[in-house]
Amino acid sequence: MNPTEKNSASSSPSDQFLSQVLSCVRFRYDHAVIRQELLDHIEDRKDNYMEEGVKDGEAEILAVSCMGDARELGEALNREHSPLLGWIWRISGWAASICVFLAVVLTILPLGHMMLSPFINSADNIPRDQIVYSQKMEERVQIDDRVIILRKVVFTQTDRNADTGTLHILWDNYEKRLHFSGWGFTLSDCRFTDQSGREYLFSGGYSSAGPLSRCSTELDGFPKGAETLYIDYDRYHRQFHIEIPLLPPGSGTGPISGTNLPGGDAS
Amino acid sequence: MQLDKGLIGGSTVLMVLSLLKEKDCYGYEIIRLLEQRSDSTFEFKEGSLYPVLHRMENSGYVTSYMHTADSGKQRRYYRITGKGQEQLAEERRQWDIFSRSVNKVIRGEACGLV
Amino acid sequence: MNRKKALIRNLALTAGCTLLIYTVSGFFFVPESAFRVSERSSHYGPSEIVCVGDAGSAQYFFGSFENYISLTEIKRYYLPVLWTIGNQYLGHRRDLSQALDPQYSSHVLSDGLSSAGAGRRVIVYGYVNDPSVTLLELNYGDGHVLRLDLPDPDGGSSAQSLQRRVLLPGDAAAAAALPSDNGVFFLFCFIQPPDSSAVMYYRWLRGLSSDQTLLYEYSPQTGVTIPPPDSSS
Repeated sequence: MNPTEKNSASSSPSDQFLSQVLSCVRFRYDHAVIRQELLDHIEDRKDNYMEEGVKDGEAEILAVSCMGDARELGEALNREHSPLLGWIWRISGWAASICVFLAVVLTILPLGHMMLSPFINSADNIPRDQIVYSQKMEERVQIDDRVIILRKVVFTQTDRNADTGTLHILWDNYEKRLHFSGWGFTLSDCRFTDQSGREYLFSGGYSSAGPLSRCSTELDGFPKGAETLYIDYDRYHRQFHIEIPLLPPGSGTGPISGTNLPGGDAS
Repeated sequence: MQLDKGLIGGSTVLMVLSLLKEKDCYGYEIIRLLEQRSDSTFEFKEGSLYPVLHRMENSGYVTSYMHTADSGKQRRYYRITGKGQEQLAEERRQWDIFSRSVNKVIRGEACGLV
Repeated sequence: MNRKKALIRNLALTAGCTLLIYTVSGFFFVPESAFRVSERSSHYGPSEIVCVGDAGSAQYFFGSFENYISLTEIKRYYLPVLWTIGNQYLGHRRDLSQALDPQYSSHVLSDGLSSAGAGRRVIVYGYVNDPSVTLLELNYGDGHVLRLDLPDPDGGSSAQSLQRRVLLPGDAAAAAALPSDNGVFFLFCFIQPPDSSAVMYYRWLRGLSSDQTLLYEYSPQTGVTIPPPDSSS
């Protein structure tokens, strides 16, 4: 860069000095910072001279001459502002900003949204006054990467004198892979039977999204006095078989905790 | 007085770090402190302070930040880091050894009598 | 913070965020990993990839698992390097007693404007189990006919990797066939324009022998027919 390219009539001694210094600094993205710092120094020294009574123009020339040789200073600064490191640092800054932005948009925002779902307890949707009995359990099975945990069955009836009602199965599932992608799972592909061998059809249910999915499955027309529920899954070489002993009201106390509401049919 | 540049160059880092250990300073402030404390023994070409400061920042001995000075203007302040404190201690140790050795050589005859 | 430390911090952030996106998000950098995750989370497979159809904005993985074939769509996400799982059609049981056993699926190509979009992409695929069929013809839309010459069932390359990439161009039709251990796999892909009053998927698919005799005809409405000896195409 030609140090005298600026019209010397219009540029001050400081400007001339600084452009000469900067002409030796190859990494131009640091020019602004270096220029400001050196200019501040020259101004402070100039103010100092003016306090001692030196006139403005002469103070500036003196201040600039105090700084030393422009070329030497420029070379020394150039050694400390390596263009290679400078460029790598700039590019890394862009890469980091892009990646952080993507990470927030693609993972943290959706994750935050999904994390809230498990706190909505699917059991809250069961009308409390229709519950005949409910029973907690902890049955676990795994297919591929998915772990299915059955937590509770709740039997409800709209008419307590009827023989059948709705059995709600409350269960969770999660996948052991790290990816929060892929398909969800319902129990709709399972076969539900009781101890008599009669089959009951999946009549509805829902599940929440997110890494831990809280789900509920309903079977209509389920007999009140059923003693065991069998759940069978057999597709594409994956299978599981779950047996859930049921304790309808009046069948006596059992080791599994449950709430038996009064007023039920004595069996 | 114009001292041999080698001496000044070698101990610049030591002196600047000692000043920064006491308080954060900006470039011009450091020059003024050096002038005052050394009774104007050291008269740098003032600009040559900045490559030193930038090198120290690259090495991690100091960090810099913008701050409003007493005069009301914005200046770039430098602050010593932990690594800088260690470097300062090391340079002081070396300086003590160096100056004692030089003294021993200069006053060689007197040493024998002490 | 000095520049070196900032650089290391930036690199760590880049690496960490990339790792986070790679493992946790629902997006994939490689379509095949999306396909594998899609299969495994549906508790199907693992399939052998018979063919990959490349349609630019989506890739279609045609898989064979025991006696089932499947089609999985892996779509591009907004960024050019990200893929996400699209639609999946799993586990059509292959009927080995049928000479011609096509599966078909279609989906709307959205143009962001109407529900009919920019038309429907229709994919017809399956296996030919009769080695005497050497030519397939597909009639769709307003009478367009696609022709596909079938390779020999023991095409020689069946022992090697069977994953083939077939280009499914956006506005034209494409057809491809590969020999495989399961017979000859065929694939037709075409676009039905949005306002086409033509039949929903396709009209018929015919299998012909080397001397142009019509051996089998299949239509989505009626299934497989084996034409009587004196019928001509």
